[in-house]
Amino acid sequence: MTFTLTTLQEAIDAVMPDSVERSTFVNNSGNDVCLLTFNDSPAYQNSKGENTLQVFCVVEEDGEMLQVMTPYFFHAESAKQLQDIISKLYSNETLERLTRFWADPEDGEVRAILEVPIEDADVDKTILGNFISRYLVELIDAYGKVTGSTEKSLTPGDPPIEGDQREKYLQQLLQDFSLDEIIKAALENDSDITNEADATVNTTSAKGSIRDAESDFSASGPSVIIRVSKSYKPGMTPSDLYEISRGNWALNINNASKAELAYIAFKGKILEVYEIAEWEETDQIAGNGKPRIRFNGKPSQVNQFQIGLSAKYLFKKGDVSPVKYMKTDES
Amino acid sequence: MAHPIRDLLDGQDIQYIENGEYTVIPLPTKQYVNIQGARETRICLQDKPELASVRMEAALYEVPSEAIETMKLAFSYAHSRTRAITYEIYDRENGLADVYAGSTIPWQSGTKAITLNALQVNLSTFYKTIESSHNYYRSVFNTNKIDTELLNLI
Repeated sequence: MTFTLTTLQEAIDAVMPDSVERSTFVNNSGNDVCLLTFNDSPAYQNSKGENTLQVFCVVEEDGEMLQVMTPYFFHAESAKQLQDIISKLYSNETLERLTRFWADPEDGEVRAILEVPIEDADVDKTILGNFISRYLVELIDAYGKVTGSTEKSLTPGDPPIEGDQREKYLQQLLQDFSLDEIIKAALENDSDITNEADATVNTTSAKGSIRDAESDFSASGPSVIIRVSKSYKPGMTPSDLYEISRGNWALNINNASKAELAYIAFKGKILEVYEIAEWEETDQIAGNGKPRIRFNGKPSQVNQFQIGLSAKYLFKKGDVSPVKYMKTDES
Repeated sequence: MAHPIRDLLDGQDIQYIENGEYTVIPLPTKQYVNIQGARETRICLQDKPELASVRMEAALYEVPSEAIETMKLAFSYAHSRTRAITYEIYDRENGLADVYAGSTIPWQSGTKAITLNALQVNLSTFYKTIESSHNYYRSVFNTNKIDTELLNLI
């Protein structure tokens, strides 16, 4: 057994103020449960209009799983309200939320659940307490997202939950994190595979599969390929990427106007594809004395499948030109 | 920087790729097809000592923006079946959105708070969930409807 009700109670005592009521019982599945009740909570009002939050901490799977949950965290009265609540809970804000929200379309219950898969690991009260605290932080933030409430105190008279840690948590949640970039970067680092053995979960060759995924890119039509190696930063917004991609380039506007697509490459991979509407001259003057140009366009939906493909073969070592023509007379 | 996950993986039959502070485990799939059209998923692991945990994430799908709201409902309906895994949808505001799956495993420096067995079990759960939910989620973003029969297969 990896943790017990006793460890759970120690963890709760370490992170919960005394004003939070505790009670223990065994549920229908035979699991030990510690029920936390936050009375007169400034930050939360349940569907009955009571300022009472109940959090069930459950010793699941003989101590191999901690489940922390709040049944009826919200209670929707209609399908539309349920959709509205879910939409707000899954807003575009974080990529590292630990709490899941389970919706029951039959009765409108929205349950907040955190499951911590411990398996055979040794966990102490500090680890369990961290997860319970994290759950409460996410719960109150989720409640605020749906209701617009800015109140963060779960218990009257106490400072906001995990007051000094909350900002740290949120900063981490909101930090610029682009998994796409990590994966794209990993795709470029096949040579860094350090363990040649087959993957455990599936014993066919994963390495072969990586190579399959690294298929070479081929232009769909008259186009330019633009390398943004110097100006691109992982996590850029789509509008920032567009701005650094469109110009200003030292190109002949007549030749450039033959291109219908602009492929944007970073570290040898296609990052985005734009459909070019037009090119225009800018105020900047290139080394040849002519104006630099930029394009106006929009992301190409039909060519999204090319994002992530390799364009390395187009750029020889020592080639510093940021722009190349493809399938035009200038190719 | 210490890499407890890599220390754990070294010498084991788990292939991985080092990528800065991330450790990437590529896994061939049978059902799931990634954005590049390959039958493979890549699970990124990152040590999170400040949360006493290891974060496991995978970028799964690129979906049309019109399907975002239906996808959110689909996640919440399926969450009763996806053990310890959360889904996120990130609107790129260019007509497409990215779907991610994530899970967090306890870890604490200097203890046995994460074991190879715990990592393998969680990787396996993550992998199986991606595989078994593939048809369901693909149906949702292709049709913008939730197929309850497929939901039962997860």
